[in-house]
Amino acid sequence: MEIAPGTLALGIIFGWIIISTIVAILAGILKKFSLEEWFVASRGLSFVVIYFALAAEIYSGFTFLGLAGWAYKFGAPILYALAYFVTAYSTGFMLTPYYNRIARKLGLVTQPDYFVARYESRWLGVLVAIVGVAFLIPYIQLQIGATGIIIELASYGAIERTTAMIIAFILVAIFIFIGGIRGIAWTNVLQGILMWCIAIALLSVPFIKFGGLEQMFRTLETVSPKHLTLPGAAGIHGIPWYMSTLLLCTLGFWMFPHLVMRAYAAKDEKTIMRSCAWMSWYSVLAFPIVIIGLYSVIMYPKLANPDWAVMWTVRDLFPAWVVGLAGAGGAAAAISTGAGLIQASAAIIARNLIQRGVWPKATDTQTAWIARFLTLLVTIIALLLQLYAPTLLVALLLMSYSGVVQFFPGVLLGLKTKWVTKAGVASGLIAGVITVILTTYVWKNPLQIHSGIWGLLVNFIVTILVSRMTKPPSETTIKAFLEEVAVKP
Amino acid sequence: MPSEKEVEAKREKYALYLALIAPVVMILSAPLINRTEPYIAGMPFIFFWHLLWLIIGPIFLTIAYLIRVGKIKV
Repeated sequence: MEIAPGTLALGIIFGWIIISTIVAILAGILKKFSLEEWFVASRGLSFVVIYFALAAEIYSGFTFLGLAGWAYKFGAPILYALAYFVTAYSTGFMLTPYYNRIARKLGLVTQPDYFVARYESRWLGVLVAIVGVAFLIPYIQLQIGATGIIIELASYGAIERTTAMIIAFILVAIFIFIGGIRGIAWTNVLQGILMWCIAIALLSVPFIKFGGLEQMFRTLETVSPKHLTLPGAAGIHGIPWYMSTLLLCTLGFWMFPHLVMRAYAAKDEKTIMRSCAWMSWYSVLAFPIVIIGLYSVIMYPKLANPDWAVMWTVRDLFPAWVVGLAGAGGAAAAISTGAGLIQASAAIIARNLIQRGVWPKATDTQTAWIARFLTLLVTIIALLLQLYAPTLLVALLLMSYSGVVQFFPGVLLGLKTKWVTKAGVASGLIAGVITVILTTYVWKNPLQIHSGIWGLLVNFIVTILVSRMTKPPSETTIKAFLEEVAVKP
Repeated sequence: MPSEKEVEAKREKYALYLALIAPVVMILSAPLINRTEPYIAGMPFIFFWHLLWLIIGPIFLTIAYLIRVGKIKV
């Protein structure tokens, strides 16, 4: 009996998702439930696990579909993303050991906790939490959308996108509910292996079809030469854009709330530094995906959705079981990132909006249970938004890097100076976010410099000016922080 | 014999410099590398340049880590 290609591919994808879910549940169920365990895995993740946890969250549905989609649409400007996959780990190498040590010393479990402790203000924590979650939710929605595209294309149209998204994300919610961060890490051990295989398979494509990379690029030169250099096919991504965007991503990367929480979960500072150093090797995997985007410009000039480039190519050239594996890899990437984002959002809402906001009497155990149930709520909200208002959050997504990079002055000055104050950080953050909104929608990237850099500039000026006029936190707090920074990892 | 503290400070300094190479070079070199010729390894220059840094960036960072934790003596 002949199995339909769509059925085979789908079988592999869902088989994979179900195995991941079981692994995640087992990983979580073996540990006693508590605030520290569910939020930051009792600060005990070893190098191997933290490595895969980070990889799970960094290499997302966007890496898999979006990189190729962008390359397809704009060409060479996408190289900024390959560049920051390298540079962001340098920032991580310098910053994350401090995150890890301070969090351990002061019992921090979320990113806003850092601001609460450093600036002695739980309301600043509430502000940071609101800004952080506002920029995480659109990312969750994006992962759900990516899963939908992958399953729809891998099933050769047999499964409707809506159904696929709902099934996949119900499983995710279950595994975060039980597994917490540990579950997310373990599922990605599986994803990592798949990603390597797919990258190698994709790299072979230009050789099969054109006889080599050079022939492919020479053909592209005649078809669309603008794809080969900045400012790219649309003509709007010039050198100032490239430089400012790369700087933005380099500084902003470790300001993402979920990544900060992973730095807290590592068992010590050396472990997290080592993870950053080794994580950078993973990035070379993204290169073949960019190549596939350019390849698709030549082969399929009229794709309805640029994000289809990878799946379209795989479906065109490989048998159904490869489509299944590629789909499983892509879906796993999207789902594991989505899971991490959901877990972090729920944790931040429970800790900084509830326990340290409206309900200060909540115990740690109560907070952890609230966070658990919030994962279900966050998943449902993101799913509904994706189903009924898929374009609503695109606006926020456009600003997400620009938005989270506005935490940078508060983090950096908190580590390096004595005079920075909560009023300074709060007003800088607000001024920065407003500047980002203005330079994203009203005056679009003035001088071709990315909105986030404009926001950061205003943010730094306001933070410094206001801090000079207001009273810094108590001597003991400042001393505790600066002493921690002075101690070498 | 330099003291433990001096050795530690030196390690940290070298690790920091090594870790900074990739971001500094990659951001500042943009105006110079925006070209297709010469083709190297079958790729337009700008693509080859990025692939190159996807490999040497991690090498620098790995050495930085090994220096930082004292596995490579400085």
